[in-house]
Amino acid sequence: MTSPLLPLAVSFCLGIAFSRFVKIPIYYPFIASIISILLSSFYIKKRLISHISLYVSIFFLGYVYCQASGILPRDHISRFVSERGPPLARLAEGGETIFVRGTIKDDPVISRMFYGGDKMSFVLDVDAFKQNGAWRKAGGQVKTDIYFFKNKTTLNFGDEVILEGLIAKPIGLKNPGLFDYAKYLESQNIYSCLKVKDKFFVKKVGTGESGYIKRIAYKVRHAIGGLIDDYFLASSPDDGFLKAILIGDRSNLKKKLNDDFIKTGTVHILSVSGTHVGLIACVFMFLFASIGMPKKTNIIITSVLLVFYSFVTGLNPPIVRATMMFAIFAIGYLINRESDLLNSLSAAALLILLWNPKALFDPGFQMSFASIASIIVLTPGIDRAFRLDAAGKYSILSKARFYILKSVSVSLAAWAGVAPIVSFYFNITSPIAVLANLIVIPLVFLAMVASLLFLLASMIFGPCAAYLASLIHMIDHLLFFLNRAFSAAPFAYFRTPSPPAIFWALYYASLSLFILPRTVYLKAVKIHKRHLSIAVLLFLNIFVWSHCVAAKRDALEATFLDVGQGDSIVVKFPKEGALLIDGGSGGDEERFDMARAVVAPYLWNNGITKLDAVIATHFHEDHLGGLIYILDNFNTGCVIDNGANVSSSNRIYKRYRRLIKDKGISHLTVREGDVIESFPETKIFILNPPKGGGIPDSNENSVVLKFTYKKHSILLSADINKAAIERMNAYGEFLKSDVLKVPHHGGHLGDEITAKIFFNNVSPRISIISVAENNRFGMPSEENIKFITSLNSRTYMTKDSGAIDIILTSSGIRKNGH
Amino acid sequence: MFNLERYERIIVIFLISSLLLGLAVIAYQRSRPLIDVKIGHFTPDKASQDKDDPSPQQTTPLVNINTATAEDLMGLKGIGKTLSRRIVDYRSQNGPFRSSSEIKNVKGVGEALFNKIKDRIEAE
Repeated sequence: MTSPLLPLAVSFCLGIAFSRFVKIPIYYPFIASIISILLSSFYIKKRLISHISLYVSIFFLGYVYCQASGILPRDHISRFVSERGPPLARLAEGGETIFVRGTIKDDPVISRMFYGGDKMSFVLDVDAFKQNGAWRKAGGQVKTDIYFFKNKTTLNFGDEVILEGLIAKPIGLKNPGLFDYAKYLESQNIYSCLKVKDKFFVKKVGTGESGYIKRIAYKVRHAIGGLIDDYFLASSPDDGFLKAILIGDRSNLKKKLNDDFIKTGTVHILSVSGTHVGLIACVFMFLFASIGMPKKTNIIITSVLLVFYSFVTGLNPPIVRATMMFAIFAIGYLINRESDLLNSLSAAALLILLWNPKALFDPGFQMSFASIASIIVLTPGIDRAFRLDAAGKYSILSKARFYILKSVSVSLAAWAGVAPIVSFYFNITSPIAVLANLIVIPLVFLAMVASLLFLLASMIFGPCAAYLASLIHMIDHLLFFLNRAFSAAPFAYFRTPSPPAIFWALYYASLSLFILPRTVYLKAVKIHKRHLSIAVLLFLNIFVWSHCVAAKRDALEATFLDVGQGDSIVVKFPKEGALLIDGGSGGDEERFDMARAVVAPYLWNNGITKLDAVIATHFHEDHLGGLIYILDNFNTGCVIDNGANVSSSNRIYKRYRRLIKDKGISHLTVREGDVIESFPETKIFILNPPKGGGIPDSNENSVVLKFTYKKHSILLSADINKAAIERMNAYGEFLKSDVLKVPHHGGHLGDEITAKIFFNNVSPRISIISVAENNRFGMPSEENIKFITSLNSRTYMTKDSGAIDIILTSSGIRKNGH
Repeated sequence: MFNLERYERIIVIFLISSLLLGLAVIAYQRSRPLIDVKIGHFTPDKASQDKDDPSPQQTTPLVNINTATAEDLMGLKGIGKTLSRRIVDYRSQNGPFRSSSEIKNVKGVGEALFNKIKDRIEAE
């Protein structure tokens, strides 16, 4: 076998992956591992048995290794953290704070917050903490956020600090199949978060002595960032782009730009990763070779420089991965082993996973290894199909043909290898990527070379740097322009649902058929490739046709997404049709947007790429905000709202109106007494706002909807309050519904008696509250929940249950568990 | 590259064409036109029919004190240049208002002024 490490790495990975899905007491796999290794050594003379039991042993070892890495030491800080911390809002009033002493472990990132003020985030290596008066030793790492309102303190890597704040388990949004913040932190071995408000709770006690190289590297990093800031406007896309590709600082990267690069499948160039390391290694090796350095010295110096560079970029996982791979390939070359590429790749994977087994669940890890593996494995086959051979390298023309086809072949192989993974994480597949990468990567290379010269020049001679800066600006804009053009090309990209397990299996089976020799021998059995191909084709047919004849939905399905503090509800109608009510907070392209993070990915995941209608219940940011992104990215039939007068300070509303106009979407307004019967088997009654009257309070004016399907109904009461609830009560019996979305995130409803009459009228079997953990309004109110529960209603809150899926069928209602 | 025999070729061709047909069917199913939404009317069966307001007065919307700029705030009666700046400063130092009554914490906004503007503001 030419790559002995490959099966080892694969079985180790499978073991780690298995540990995420199946939880069994750790000693069973441990014993299984020992037994199989004994079996392997016992049957050492029988090749097949010995090998197989060795791999089985490694598989269980992977399982044990990953499980064991999740067991926290006795003094780990996270062992002292309760499930749910007190709200941050109480910090100012002196809540149950904790003192933590520790060292800052990475380069602090500063970001602006929505309501003003700055947030500084870093990972703190905990040393000790003080809870009820006494200090005690502790270990572990804590993700720390410091909120600065009045004055800022500067903190750097290596600083020793004492912080006073609130500590809690990470709270993330919980939506099926979408990004999980807690899991993400867990994969970096972080199990708790510390929130600190203002500099009064921060005390710097030392600057630490360790991490000398890291400190210099971060100085270089800040110096480069400062130089970029000197020559480019912080608000220009160049600034964020250059910082991202040069020093791996994505904090100022325009989100819109990032979206554009996702569409063309070239987003990997925006994080300092494998492509970068390749490009930078090329630059250095070329430079050193041109001054006549011997090849081996050249490789060693380049490796050392790459390691330093990975420090400068903040030691992000992608660059560490790529540098490690380069180093392993380099070592393979230096010890004069005609190194097998797959073997080196497996060694790199094993090393990274031994360091942190949970790295396997990092999408970046999966994509880098998948792309390199498929480049190694698939390119020879594609080259053959292109009839590429060195024989054609005589004239310039045939040379050019050779290099172009070779690049296409590499690009195609990489794309084919990662396409399902990209579609899983980004809900997109971009055939244009094969072409776009051919143009984008050389341009990025050019921009990097120019930036390198620019950085050198700015230290020596200012005017020259300014000239180079404008050159970089031109290259960047050419790059952005071409990238946009690619994304606008026909069939450039498709939004896709996350592929099911069956698809993954069939896809990679088809790919491996491509590289298989004509016949495979398994011991004495001879297997023909053509037979395998027919089998795969047959399964593909079954997969596709089972989709075609799948029964149409025979139910009304409403999903209350977990969008933190805000509302967003997706309704799927029987047979066909989909509707979105509100989009959570957002609306500013460059800030965190719930629709970008949750609503749109959820819709794509569920195969919804067009919305028959979008309803904005009212124009507050936590309802309307996300709809901007939705209207921009989905084919929308019509937009429905209450047509209220809106204060001129509501900028999101202005964008919303402009978008409706620009896209030519039909705009309908509804009021009490309107009904929508256009959807299959469903009636939607509108109960609020009232006819005629303009109501100044946006909440009281919000659209209240009652959905009825067969015998069942859902009442969505948006953010109404006392006045509107009083009007609602006039409907009496008509309010009765099986499911109620409790008004105004479960908050106080003004008058208790009116609210109780309302809840009594509705008397829901299921009530849903769409609310964030630790929100600053103190929602939901205890009394509301107590009263609703006394009505024999099950209450679900998005902050606890995550997204809540309610299904109405002719036989009843049920809540889908995730 | 596959060296297929005659019957195998037939099978492969059949399978590929049925696969393509299946994909075409899926594409067709996906490409349904958007539903044309029409708004109708129903007569609400209310316990007490409230009369339609004969003269729908045009009301000005509330000012959101968490998102309003200094100019927006100056539109409120009793709030001038200094006060509006103070409100914005307060917001950037202490974070957003949790309720509209929190505005009383701003120096210069007393109970009397708050009572005057409380029906015109909201804190969302």
